[in-house]
Amino acid sequence: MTGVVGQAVRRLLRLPVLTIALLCGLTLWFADMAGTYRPAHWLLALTMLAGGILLALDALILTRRVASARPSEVSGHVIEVALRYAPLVVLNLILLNVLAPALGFAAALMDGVSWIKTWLTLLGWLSGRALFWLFAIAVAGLGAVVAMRLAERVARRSPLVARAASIADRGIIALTAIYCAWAMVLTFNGTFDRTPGSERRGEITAVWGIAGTPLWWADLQSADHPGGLVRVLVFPERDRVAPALLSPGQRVRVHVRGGLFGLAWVERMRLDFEHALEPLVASAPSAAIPRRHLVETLLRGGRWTEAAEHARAYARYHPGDREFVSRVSAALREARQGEPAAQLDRAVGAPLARAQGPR
Amino acid sequence: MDGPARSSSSPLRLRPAVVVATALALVWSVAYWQLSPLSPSLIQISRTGPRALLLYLSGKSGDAARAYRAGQHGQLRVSYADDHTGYWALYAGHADAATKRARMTLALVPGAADARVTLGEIALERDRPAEALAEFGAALRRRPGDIDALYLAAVALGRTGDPGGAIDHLNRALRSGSAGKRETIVYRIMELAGDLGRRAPAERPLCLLAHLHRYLRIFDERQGAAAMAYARQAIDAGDRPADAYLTLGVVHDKRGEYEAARLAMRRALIADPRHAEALRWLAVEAGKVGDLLVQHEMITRAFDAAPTDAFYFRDLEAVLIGKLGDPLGMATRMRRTLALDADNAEAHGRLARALGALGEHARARLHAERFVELSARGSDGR
Repeated sequence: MTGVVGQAVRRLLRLPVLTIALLCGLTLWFADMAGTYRPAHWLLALTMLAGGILLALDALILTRRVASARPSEVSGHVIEVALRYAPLVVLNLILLNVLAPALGFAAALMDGVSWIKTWLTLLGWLSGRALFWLFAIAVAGLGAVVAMRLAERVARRSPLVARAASIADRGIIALTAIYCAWAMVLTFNGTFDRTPGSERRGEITAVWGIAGTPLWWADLQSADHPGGLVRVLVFPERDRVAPALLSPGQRVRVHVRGGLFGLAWVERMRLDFEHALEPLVASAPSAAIPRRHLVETLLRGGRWTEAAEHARAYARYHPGDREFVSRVSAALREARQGEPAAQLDRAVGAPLARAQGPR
Repeated sequence: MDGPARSSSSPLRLRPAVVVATALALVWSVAYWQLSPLSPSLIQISRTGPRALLLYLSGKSGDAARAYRAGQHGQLRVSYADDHTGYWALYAGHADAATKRARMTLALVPGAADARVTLGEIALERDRPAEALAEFGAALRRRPGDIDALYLAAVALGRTGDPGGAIDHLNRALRSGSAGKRETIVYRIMELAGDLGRRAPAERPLCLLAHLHRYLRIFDERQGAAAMAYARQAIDAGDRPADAYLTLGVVHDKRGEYEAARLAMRRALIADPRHAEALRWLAVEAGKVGDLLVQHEMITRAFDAAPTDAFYFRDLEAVLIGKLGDPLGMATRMRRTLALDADNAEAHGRLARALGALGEHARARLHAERFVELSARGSDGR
């Protein structure tokens, strides 16, 4: 690599802390992308989990590099000054945070519901929370650096451990680079995919994941390919269901796209209640919506006689909706089901005639 | 800070200042962790507020509630013109003035339910729960869904030794999703929970305590653990197990433990297959995932369990008419309600809507008129 870019890369590589910090950011971003274009394969579906593990390992290396960093004179001076005044900074932040309960209190004093009250409550809640996380990250980071320095001191006594640490360091960076390349393949595979996709049906056999994180998977037994297992990373915004509401035994429909490089990926997953239509119609016979859906499903499945029977029942309960019954009749005729269509016409004609006749 | 070529000879040192800063940050974080789940009602800015908070955090709920209540006392700054019910006078600790205001309002408007609630609360403060119950009863006859009256009546029932009645009232109030309008309610419930919790283990009304802590969970997330612990003890002791499972399920749900919540609700139904609130909860849960079959089954069973309870009509209508397109089913059920309670205003209103959807406009109009007439009779001041 030559020229300006090459020089910039070489300069960046000479900054070990910044390099690994950038790598952490890239890993996070690619892990997120891998989750967006989630592969349908049972093993590849764990790409995001792999990203999370690599991110944790990268953070470990970052800590190690920070622990052994020898800052330049300028930045060292700046850091020294910052550290000297650290207690004052913390104290000031705490005092500023007095604003949080004051904001919350001001919100509580306001009557009724207004956007000002909502924002004040939110600000009061957020400022305290933000400071809590800032302190938590700072204290945890400091603790990690101290622990790493102690570990380094121990490792320095044994050349074997030091060598192993160095190899692990390089190995993790190499793995992270490979991971980013793989995630990029998945991203292109999904972003530039123009295949129409297909719908697969399945039943959830297990829902598992890491509590408090978005890493939750649903293992599905494919109905179309018995024995086939599909693993789906649950994406609540796209699947319109939170992992906590999923449970084994639920039926789902999964929309799978072929992928630009032939790596199938899951576009969306929906809970499937089509099998519940018949019992629902049986328990609410006068309900229009489920019976209409049932008739449409039966027509799609070529169950003509049953579709005609349900359409007759529908017409009995909803004599005013002639349009739906006509559509069913037309669909039956189009499918060359003259007899069920004629039966439906005869049955529907009678109540309509009664409704129109003298009272 | 990088760059070995330009670096200083040694890595950064940990200064004592950093240790001090860390200690400060840790102390603040621990304090934040303790106080952040508390609602502003429990961090009262008053003379007795800090003492009340300390008492509360040390688990002395009864004493804490009394200290919080004392913190609300002060000068009476609100005139009668802005305090018809006498609540603000009572809030500020002027029970006599509050009584006068409430009685004056009742003299002018005999049906004023809020003034009745104030009189009941004054009786409660003077440790006369039976008298309080009579006032809350009058308010609830006027306005059966009055949340403040329901909560305070539950406190009065708890004080008179009727935990079953108290639980029924608490459940009716809690299902509304409101903690009540009066800022005194939380302290009255906290006081009762503290006093009942101090009793000898064999004398504790476990299921009632579970419900009281379920209410307090609205103000402090950690009260959920106490509610669950009391609910489990109540189940083991056979103290209204269906209601105890309901509380267990609701708290699990609030903690995001949905599977455990569903299990608890199903167990509530095993204990009492006609537990309307558990049935409604399962209907709502099924609605969240779009399972119409279960939602329909549960909400219709909830209606069957409590056919005259107007609270369930809204959810029933949303499922039957909104999701299933079944006005006939809704009309049939509302007629059943009216056969049991001809003056049920809500049933007339919902029947009018269902009949309208069925095209029976003349009958719909009759029921709509009856709805308006009964609603007007039930509201204050008529």
